[in-house]
Amino acid sequence: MKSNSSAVARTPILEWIAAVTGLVVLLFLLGAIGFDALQGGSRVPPDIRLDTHPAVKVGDRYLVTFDASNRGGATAAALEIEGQLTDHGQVIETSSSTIDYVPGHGAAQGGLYFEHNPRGMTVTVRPLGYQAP
Amino acid sequence: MTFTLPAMSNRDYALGLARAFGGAIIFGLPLLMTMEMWSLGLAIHPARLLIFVVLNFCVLVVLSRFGGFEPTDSIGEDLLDALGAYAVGIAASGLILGLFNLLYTSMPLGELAGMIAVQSIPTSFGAMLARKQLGDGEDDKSEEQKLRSDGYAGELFLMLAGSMFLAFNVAPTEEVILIGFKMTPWHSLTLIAASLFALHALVFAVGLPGQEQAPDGYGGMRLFIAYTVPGYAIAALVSLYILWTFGRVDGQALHAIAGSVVVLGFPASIGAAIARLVV
Repeated sequence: MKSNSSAVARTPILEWIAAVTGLVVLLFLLGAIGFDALQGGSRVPPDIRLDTHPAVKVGDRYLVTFDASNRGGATAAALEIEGQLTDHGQVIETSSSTIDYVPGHGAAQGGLYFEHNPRGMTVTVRPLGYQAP
Repeated sequence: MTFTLPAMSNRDYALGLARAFGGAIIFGLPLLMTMEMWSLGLAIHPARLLIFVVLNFCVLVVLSRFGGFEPTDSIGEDLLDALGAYAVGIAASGLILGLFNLLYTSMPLGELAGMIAVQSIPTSFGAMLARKQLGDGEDDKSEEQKLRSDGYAGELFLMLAGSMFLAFNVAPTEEVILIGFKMTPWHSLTLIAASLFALHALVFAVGLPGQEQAPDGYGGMRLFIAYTVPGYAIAALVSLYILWTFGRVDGQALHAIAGSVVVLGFPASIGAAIARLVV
């Protein structure tokens, strides 16, 4: 033990820095994942919320971009999004889009194209279904 | 010797370049033949790609200190060697991508440049390592170069280079995030333990050539704290950085990012552990 303590006294400062940084990174990873493991959050099914942005004209058509955020813990893969233009309850046009992944408590972006100008009409966007990754 | 026989040294340099070309193709082929890499030049954020290319260059300069494709005496020569490795890497990438008919004249210049820039990272790495891998072996490494890489800082740097190389080879594929989504948190925790174990065993226990001799007075616990834990942290940080470069952490929750880091951290730890063998 005595010889050991003299070796510790000669420990280079870089080794201390590396060891402490290493432990911090390791504990952070263990903490972030361990917290999730204990909470069991990733078993809560995907809960997709869609926020649309105002339509913009791109080329000959109109684009409505949206943010898809997942308030559930589980990941939604191959998420199908459908957008509808309605004018006084009458469906004018339907578009759809597929998002590869919306991770649990994460977000992804996408867009829907329409031939008709959505201005003055109602745009409704809803998730149709997803695949478990 | 190089100054008294300039004609000879030109020939030597040409041989070195040819070897570097071989190294670039060997180390670059897996990624040159990966579909995600072809579109990555376009999908990747240009500023992030630029930072990565510059960072890779810095790693190449330091690698050259530790034994690049020709023996060097000064930082200036290391800079030249790293530039040479990049030139070979870019040429090899362009050549192979052209052979595969993946480069079109109708491509915008930005896409073409991005595609080759992404590929030049593994190929330039291969060009730099060619001397060790394809050369006459360890003997032509000068004593000085050996000394340079022997210190604690050199050891950590080798781990960084090794983890960067292996992580970069795996990171472009979609599988990395898909595996992260498939694993439960308990799998992730087990994978952290497995990575730490593999790193420690490969560096200190299984007796690969180039294996570390434990410094005097270092017990098992101290080796673990001084080498394995920082090594794993390097692997994890390198993984996080590469995932960020490829835009794989954008819009993700903290635990999902940690999950992806752990997935990529596994090959990165193996890379850190075997760096001595390769570099």
